[in-house]
Amino acid sequence: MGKRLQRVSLAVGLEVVAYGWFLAFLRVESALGSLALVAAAAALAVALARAGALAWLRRELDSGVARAAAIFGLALAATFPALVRDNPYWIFTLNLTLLYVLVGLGLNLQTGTTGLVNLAGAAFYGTGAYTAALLARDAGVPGVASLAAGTLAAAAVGALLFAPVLKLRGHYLALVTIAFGVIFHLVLNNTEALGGPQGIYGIPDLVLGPWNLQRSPRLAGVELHFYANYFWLLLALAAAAVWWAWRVYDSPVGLVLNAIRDDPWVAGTSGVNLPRWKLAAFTAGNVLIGVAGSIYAFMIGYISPENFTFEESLFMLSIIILGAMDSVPGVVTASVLLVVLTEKLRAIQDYRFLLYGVLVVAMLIFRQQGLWPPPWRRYGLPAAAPSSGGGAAR
Amino acid sequence: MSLQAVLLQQLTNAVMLGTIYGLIAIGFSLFFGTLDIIQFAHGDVYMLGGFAALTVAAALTSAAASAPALAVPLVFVAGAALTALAGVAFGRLAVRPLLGSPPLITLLATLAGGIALREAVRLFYPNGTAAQRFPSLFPAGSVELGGVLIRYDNFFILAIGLGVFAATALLVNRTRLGRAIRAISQDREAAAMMGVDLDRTLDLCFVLGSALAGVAGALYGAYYNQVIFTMGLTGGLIGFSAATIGGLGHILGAVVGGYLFALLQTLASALLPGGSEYRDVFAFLVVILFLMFRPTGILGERQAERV
Repeated sequence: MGKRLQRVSLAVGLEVVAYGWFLAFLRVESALGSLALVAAAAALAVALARAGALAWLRRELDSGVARAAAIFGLALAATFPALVRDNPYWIFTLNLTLLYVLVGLGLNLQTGTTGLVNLAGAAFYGTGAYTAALLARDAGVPGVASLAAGTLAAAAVGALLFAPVLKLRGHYLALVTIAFGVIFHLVLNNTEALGGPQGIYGIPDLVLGPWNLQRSPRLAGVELHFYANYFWLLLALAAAAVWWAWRVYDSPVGLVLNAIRDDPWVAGTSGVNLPRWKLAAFTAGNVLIGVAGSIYAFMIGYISPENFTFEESLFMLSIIILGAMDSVPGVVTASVLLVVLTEKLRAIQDYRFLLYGVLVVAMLIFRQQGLWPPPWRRYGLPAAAPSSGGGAAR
Repeated sequence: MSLQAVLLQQLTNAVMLGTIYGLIAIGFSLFFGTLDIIQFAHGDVYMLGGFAALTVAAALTSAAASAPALAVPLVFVAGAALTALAGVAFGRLAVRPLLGSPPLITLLATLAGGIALREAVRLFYPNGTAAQRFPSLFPAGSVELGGVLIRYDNFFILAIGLGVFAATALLVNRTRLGRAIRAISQDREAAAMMGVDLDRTLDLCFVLGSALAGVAGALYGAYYNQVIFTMGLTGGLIGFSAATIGGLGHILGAVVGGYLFALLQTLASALLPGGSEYRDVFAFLVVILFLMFRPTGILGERQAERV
């Protein structure tokens, strides 16, 4: 038990250090200071990685210590809006990051785990956003219901689009999703009932029961920006999604989906119902994307077709390329890196898509496996740590 | 205008657009046939073609050498050559290093590379965010045919397009290089063992496909009198759709697919209410339907999945 306490405190200590570093990184204004902090962290990370820290981290993530560390980490993260209350912009940035974590997990389930390329991420995100916004503004549907409707709409549109093309090979599926993304953008731009190019203004406040998320929360006499509400909501959702994605990854379902990606022939002849699982994975991924889109609409209060372009879809995909295919921690890492770094380096904002394009190509050529690739599955082998999901998959 | 005249007008329009689409689609088919990949940046290479031709044309105007008999061939040849160069460079940098990887990887790499090309033009071409005026290359004026006025430049566009189609067909079917290309698309390894220089032939494939896209970009500029950095996105998507309708890997199919797609578009804008805004929506919906029922295209062989 003493050993366990030691491990938990080590994890907790690491979390505090990382959190402190992150806050300092946001605080530092000068480019030189930021660079120094990044350089220090990178040097430390490389040194730790050389010393085998990644394997250790992976073992710890698989063990019982992880739960205690995760609960503490969430509590720590929840203090974030209070610690940067003089600069709500950073809360907003973190909210975007959490939205991209949700989207990234959805895309990862589709593209990373199951091998179904979804090049219309932004269009499904937009389906959720537009549905929720229009229902809330024009039909007066209450908050929870419009969030649910937005989520369902993204899932349903995805399933409708996807079901007929289940049999097709990768290239054709890519064409269908790209075409859908372009159609989505064209229809939004040209349909007055959907706001046309001006988009949708005046999306009402999001009210969940007694909680109006647009009203500044007051904690112990301190008033915070209303973004803090969204931060907590999104933090809870993202944590739940990460937990769920991890469970799926570790379950026989994760293995089945991997089999579909790696060799549909073998999977099919082993009794996997290919169309059913593909459709399930695609729809589940779209649920995550749709819920993120719906919340996004309420949070920024104004959406237009320009938020949901093909470039945006590709940016979403670059999260899982940077992080690693089929890697839950990879999605989280890459979302933080991509969103926070972009906001931090606002001077190069205009160059961001150029940089993403080059970054993705470079990543694919030089480190195709991503920053944080998942380890080999170890079913049936003596596990490195007492982990879940042992034994044969089926 | 009578319905007949409207249809005739739209038909002319479809022939012009179809020529441009076919030129783009050949590249998609060529890369799919020889490399087994979809080169998604091909649309942006086509956009580069428009800008390359524009640059050449602008240089000619400032050099005051704008006699059409000389300027037109120069614009097309130099524009196509520049585009071919860019295409080969792109292939070497972003496509060829990834050839052994799963299809998803090359797909994403070419998409991302395409974004990089598009953004580079937007950021580094002078005032690149705005549409650029493309000088009129062909003599002005028009001729009346069946109650419809047809501009002279339509004939030039059609003539150039058909000439390039014919030259491509000759190249692929009658020359040593063409035989090498066809051999590679049947079986890359066997072709290499029979003495086909893979590296060189694949480079030449990029030269050929990108040069055709370059011609298409220049034709687009001449037809609409403008080029813009976003034209590669829809252009590429349409080219890919056209190649797919025709049967990927099939050169003649790409041309047929190009004309078919243009016909769908123009019919939609002529016959549907509010059609000109929704013409691409309609055309892509038809492509999606098409994929469901005949994914191998009109001319593609019904192949069993290769294991």
